[in-house]
Formats: sequence, structure tokens, C-alpha cells
Amino acid sequence: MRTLAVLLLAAAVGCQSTVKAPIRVRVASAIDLQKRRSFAALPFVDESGRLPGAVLEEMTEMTRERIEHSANASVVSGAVTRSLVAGEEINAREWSDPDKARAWAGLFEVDALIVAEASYETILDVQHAPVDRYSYAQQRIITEVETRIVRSHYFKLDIAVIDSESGEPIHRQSLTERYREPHNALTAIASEAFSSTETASQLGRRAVLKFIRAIAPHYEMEERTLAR
Amino acid sequence: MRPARWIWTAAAVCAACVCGCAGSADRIDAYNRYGVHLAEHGLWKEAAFRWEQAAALGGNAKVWNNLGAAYEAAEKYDDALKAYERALSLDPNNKHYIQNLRMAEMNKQRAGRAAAPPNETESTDSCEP
Repeated sequence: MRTLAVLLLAAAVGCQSTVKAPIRVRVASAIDLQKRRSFAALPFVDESGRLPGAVLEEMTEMTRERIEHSANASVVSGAVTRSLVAGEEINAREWSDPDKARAWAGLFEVDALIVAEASYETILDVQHAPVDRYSYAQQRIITEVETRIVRSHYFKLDIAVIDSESGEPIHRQSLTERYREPHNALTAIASEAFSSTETASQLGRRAVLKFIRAIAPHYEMEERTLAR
Repeated sequence: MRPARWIWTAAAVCAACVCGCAGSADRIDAYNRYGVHLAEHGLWKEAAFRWEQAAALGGNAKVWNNLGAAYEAAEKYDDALKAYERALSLDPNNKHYIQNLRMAEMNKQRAGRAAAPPNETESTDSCEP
């Protein structure tokens, strides 16, 4: 019987009419990198007021570095950017005004500006989930509702590449990163008292990487169905 | 006696035609299977060569579908689309061919998407930061 089953399985595998094969697919940049060779990333703005300056600075610097390496473009350094924007109030709403965007781009003498607005929120939540367990009293598996404390982290990054000539956005992404952290009563109180910026920083880095992936030409692996 | 000879001659010609056709189909199938084996190991150029040989022999829907994938791997999107369309013309309801064609159309767009409108929204939900 077992031999028959093995033979049938072997026959089924051998007779399989289709097969998946990996294929490498080129994904072009979302913007024309032949036309735009120089960029300036302005310091990221936090509209929620919950993100420390260090996290925003880290994200901005990461964007500069990654664009320089992955998109092979020249990017105005962080030091030069800071010196040029010193004393200026950077407001995320300004980017909808093409004249202001053009003025900023002219100041940096670049082909495109990268502007971003980040917001971060963390909520302590109570979740009820069904859990199965064996009841000795009832001699059967019963379903109970288990209450869990969960801290949810929400990180939103609105990022845009603005053309220096037109002042209009040529690429815009709205990225939302989420992370749910399970807690017990004690750790929930501790997390409330000593909030860590590490999660916000990691979520921010992840959002930046997604933006870079859209900007930099790259390859992705896909599968194609081949017929035998 | 004469009619019998004619019958034998006609039968021989028919048999030769049938054998010839069967041989061609076998060769197409052999080339196709070998191409699939090569593609599974990432040797897409060699696989494309085999499938082109199979196509030159007349091909079939499987060969054209596989050739489409090989052209896609070589970033020849127009040729890939033509090959997938040809596969679908021979086997219009094959869901695998339809899926491959759609993916190829999407990748053709992605390969030259610099001129696309500036709007994209993404969202992820995960348990690890």
C-alpha cells in the first residue's frame, strides 16, 4: 500500500505540467535619474511633535547617504544643508507652494529637493483574543477569551521629490509603518513611564528604505510559470 | 496488381508523414523540457535558445509561454508580450499564461516608469520593527 502511494506521488510529481522558475526583473527609478542628478534632502519635519530631533536627523542623513549610493546621484551634505537652513523655519505646508519650493531648490543649486513630514503615535490598547484550552472539569476543549495588553506604534512618513524647475512634486509617497508590542501589566506601566525612541527610529528607517527602493533602480525576484 | 501497388505507395507516404509529424512533436517536447530544466537552474539564455529551436519546428502554446518568460528575463518586454499573446492564442483559457502576460505587462511599465504620475501610497503592518 505504501509502495503504491509512493509510486502515485512520484508519478504526480513527474507528470506535473507546470513549474515555477525564478526570474530577475529590473525595476526602474520612479523618477528620471538621467535628468536629475543632484539632490538636497531638507531636514525632515515632525508634525506630531513626538519624535526626538535625533531620530529625524538620523532619517534625513540616511536618505542622503542611500540616495548617493543607490541612485548614484550627488546629494548636498548634511553639514551644508544645516548651515543653509539655519534660522529658517521649515514648514511641511510650504511644499505645496511651487514658488517657495523653487526658491529652496535655487538656494541649494540642485535638480530636485527631497522633503518629508513624519508623524509618530503610540497607543496602549487592550485586545481580546479567543484561546482554546482543555478543560479537565468539562473533559473537552473549550474556547476562552484572553485579554492582552498591546502597545501599537504608528509611524507615518509623507515624502516627496520636488522638481527644481517647476516646483511641483515629481514623486510622492505616503508610507505607514506599524508595530504591535505585546505587554503584561508590569511592562505596560514601565513602557508608559520610560518611552523608548528605538521603535520609532527602526520604523522610520524602514520607511526611508522603502522610499529609497522606489527612487533607486534595482532588481526584484519574481516567479514565472513554465509549462512542461 | 497495379492498384495494389498504388495503395501500398499511398500508405507508405501517409505513414512517413505521420511519423515525421510525430517526430517533430517529440522534438518540440524534448526541446521544451530541456529548456524548462535549464530555466529552473537560471540558464535563461540557453533555455531561450532551446525554445526558439522548438518554435522554429512549429512550437506550441507551452513553448511560446516559456519563450515569453525567457524574453522577459532578458528584458525584451515587447518580444515577451508577443510570445505570451501567441501562447494565449493557442490556449486562450490557460490561467498560467494569462498571469504571466499580466506580470509582463506590469514589468514593462515598471521598467520605464520614470514618466508615471507622482502618486504612490504604501502601508505595512508587521510585528517586528
